[in-house]
Formats: sequence, C-alpha cells, structure tokens
Amino acid sequence: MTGTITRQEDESVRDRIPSNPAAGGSRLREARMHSTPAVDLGESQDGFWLVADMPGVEPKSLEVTVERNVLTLEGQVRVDVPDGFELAGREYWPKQYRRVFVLPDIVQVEGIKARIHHGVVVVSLPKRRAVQPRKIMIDG
Amino acid sequence: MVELLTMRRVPWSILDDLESMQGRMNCLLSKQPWSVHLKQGAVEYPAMNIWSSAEGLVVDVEIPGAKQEELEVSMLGDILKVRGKLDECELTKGGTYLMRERLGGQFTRSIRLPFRVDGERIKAQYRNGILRITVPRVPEEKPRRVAIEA
Repeated sequence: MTGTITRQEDESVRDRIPSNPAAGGSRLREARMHSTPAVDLGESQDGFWLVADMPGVEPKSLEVTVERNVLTLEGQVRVDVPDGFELAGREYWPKQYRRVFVLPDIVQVEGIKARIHHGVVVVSLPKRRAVQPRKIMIDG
Repeated sequence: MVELLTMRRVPWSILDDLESMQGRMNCLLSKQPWSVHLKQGAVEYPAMNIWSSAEGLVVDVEIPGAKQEELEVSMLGDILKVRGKLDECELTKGGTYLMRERLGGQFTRSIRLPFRVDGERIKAQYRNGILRITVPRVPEEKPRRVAIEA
C-alpha cells in the first residue's frame, strides 16, 4: 500500500505576481492577499484528515474542490468594519486563503467531506475499501 | 506505509516588511488623536486588529478553533487580557500526524488601552474564528467639542 499526499507549491501566489514590473503595484498587492493556511495532516486506518486554520472565513465563503486528484481549499475573509470606527492598529490583513494538495490514488474522492467551525476547516479523506487493512478470520 | 511529501510554508515574505511600514504610515497619517501601538509583524499570538472611535475600541482577535467556553476576556485597570486554549480536533485522535503546522495549547495576550473603560459594558463575541471585543470608554473620557465664543 503506497500513496502520497503532495502539497503543490503555492501557484496561486506565483502566477499572480506580474512578470512585467510595469503592470503596477496593485496586482502585486493583490497577490499578497493570498494566504497559505497552516495545515495539520494525519492518517488513520480508514483515511486521512486535514485540518486548516482559516479564521474569518464564513461557511458560505469556503470552497473545497476536488478535480481528479487535486484538492483545493479556498476561503475568502470578509472584514466586518464596525460602524463609525477607524482602523487604529493592524496585525492581520483581509485575505483569500488558498492551499492545494495532490491526493494519492488510495483516497476515495467521492467520500471526501469538509466542514468549517470557528474558522477551522476539517476535511476527511476516506481510503478506498480495497486498501484498508482487512482482518481475516481464522477457522478452527 | 504511506509516504508523505511536503514542502515548507514560507514563513516570511519581503512584502511583510512593506506591509508593516504601510501600517506605521497609516498610523501617522490617520486622523486619530491617539493610536494603539501593536507590535508590527504579528510576532505575538493571537494577532489583533484594533478599530477606534470616540465611543471606544473594537478589538478583533484572530483565534481559529478555540472552544467558546474556554475563551476568557478580562479587564484589570487599563489592561485588556485575552486567554484561551486551542483544542485538538476530534478526528485527529486515534491516528498519526504526518504534518503539523497549526498552533496548539494555551495562550494569553494583554494590551494596554489608552483610556479608562466602562468595564460593565465590555462585550465579546466569537464568530468564524474571530473574537470581537467591544470596549466602550467611560463617558467622562469621551472627546468633547468645546464651543468657541465670539
């Protein structure tokens, strides 16, 4: 039983930075708005799990897509500016989270489930039955 | 065995410095009579954004995955303190980690506020991993417009 989960390099950032510097700073800034969420990845007998921090992402603005064997997590942070207030100090920026994983063949793509709670995305990726260890009954 | 291939996250970008400089410039140029000074570069955890008005402050704290009942907001004098604990996800019990990047455990962070606070009216709300604390000023400390006599 072999398989790999590979993190793709963050193409979302790379392909948005203008190759032509004359294109201006606004696109460069836009590129920085993409943020790579911190992720925990684990494995059990039945499958893998993936946990990603995306604080500020509402359930409706989270997108988890699987195309062939590529899993993409994307979430948009909506900043809720309090009425009549001005920004006095900033340590984090409004951003678009994005992270891409290449799944191993043993993942049963149809069974992938995702949910988000308190800004944490949990994706469960079940393994195909054929590759799960089976206990063989011993007669006698 | 399942073998895993990962790449390191880039922890620092040259743009971070530009952002931090921009933050300081915004602070200088803003119309605020005062400002709350946060450490640039978000070295401290959890990261905060602070909004202000004559009424008081709104402090947004980025805390993904805390249990609401384990978050604690307190005020002592002019020090606002946030404490909490990041819990492990239930799914992760009974398996092995292949990669760990998320923070875990307990955290505390305090900031000093630039005015006296009406402690009874502080409100906190935890939604989508952001803790929003609304801190009203005591009425005597609100800025007053002084009428100029002719």
